[in-house]
Amino acid sequence: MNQLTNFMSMSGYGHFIWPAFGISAILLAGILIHSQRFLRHTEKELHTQNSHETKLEVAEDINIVEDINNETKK
Amino acid sequence: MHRFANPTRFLRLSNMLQPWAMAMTVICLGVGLYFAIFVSPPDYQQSETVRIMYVHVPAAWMAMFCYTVMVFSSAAALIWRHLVAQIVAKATAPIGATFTFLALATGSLWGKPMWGTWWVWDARLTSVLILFFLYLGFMILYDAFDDISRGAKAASILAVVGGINVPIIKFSVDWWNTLHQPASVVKLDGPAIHSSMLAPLLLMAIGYTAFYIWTLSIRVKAEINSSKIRAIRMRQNTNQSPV
Repeated sequence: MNQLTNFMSMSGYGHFIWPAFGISAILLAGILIHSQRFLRHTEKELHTQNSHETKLEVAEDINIVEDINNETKK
Repeated sequence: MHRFANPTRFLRLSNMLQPWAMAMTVICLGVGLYFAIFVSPPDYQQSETVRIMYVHVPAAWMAMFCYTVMVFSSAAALIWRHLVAQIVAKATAPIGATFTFLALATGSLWGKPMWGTWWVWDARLTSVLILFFLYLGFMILYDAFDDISRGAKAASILAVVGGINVPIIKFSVDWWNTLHQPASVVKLDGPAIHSSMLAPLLLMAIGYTAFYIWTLSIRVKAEINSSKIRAIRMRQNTNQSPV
């Protein structure tokens, strides 16, 4: 226990050294997590956009087919 | 370089690099931290506080490296309208800003016990603070216009003009009187630092660089997706608007 306290105190400079390591770990992890979330968000958005586009295209195709059917009926 | 102007080709390269960068980050930071905290000796003048160097110096190097990447990619974006270069600059900015903030914060935590003050308005510290503001300015300008290409152009010009700050930071410790110590690793006559400290420092620096490449590849992918989303939206808007 005493050894651990000695180690953590870093000759009395522990309260400068550990925050320096801590803030580095927190901010680097933070920017990494933010980047991953950003990527997930755009992937999801792109997926819904794409399926919406496909639906539009299908709808357009159906319209064209209906137009042709109507024309042939005439 | 023009080979990578194509986003698909660039994505393939970045997908290939990503697992390597991730592995390098974990290994180098793991081993580097172990040596930095447990193995490397205390300094004869600065005692244990020298351990702050292992997170401060790599962050400061990366702050300047990321900005240099931004200067060159912004210049490429302005000159050749290089889409990937534009995206690399945009994706680098928040990562570089994080490194710069870390350099300032850890430097402050090192300054208090060694210089007796958290902050001084001397050349090195002030020029790094300006670097931080340049990063913030770049990000704010980029998103400040409805027309994204105008924002990108304005931000790119700011990045290129602000490039003058990088050599100023590097040589500030030689040109002006400052509390900050002069360069001890990147010197013409070789590093003035013992290998027991140099080895963990270089490991941490490699780890930070790999971390940048890892995070950059994630952000570049996200930015390419964003531009695709914008393109789809624009197409939908033009389709929907009455002719």
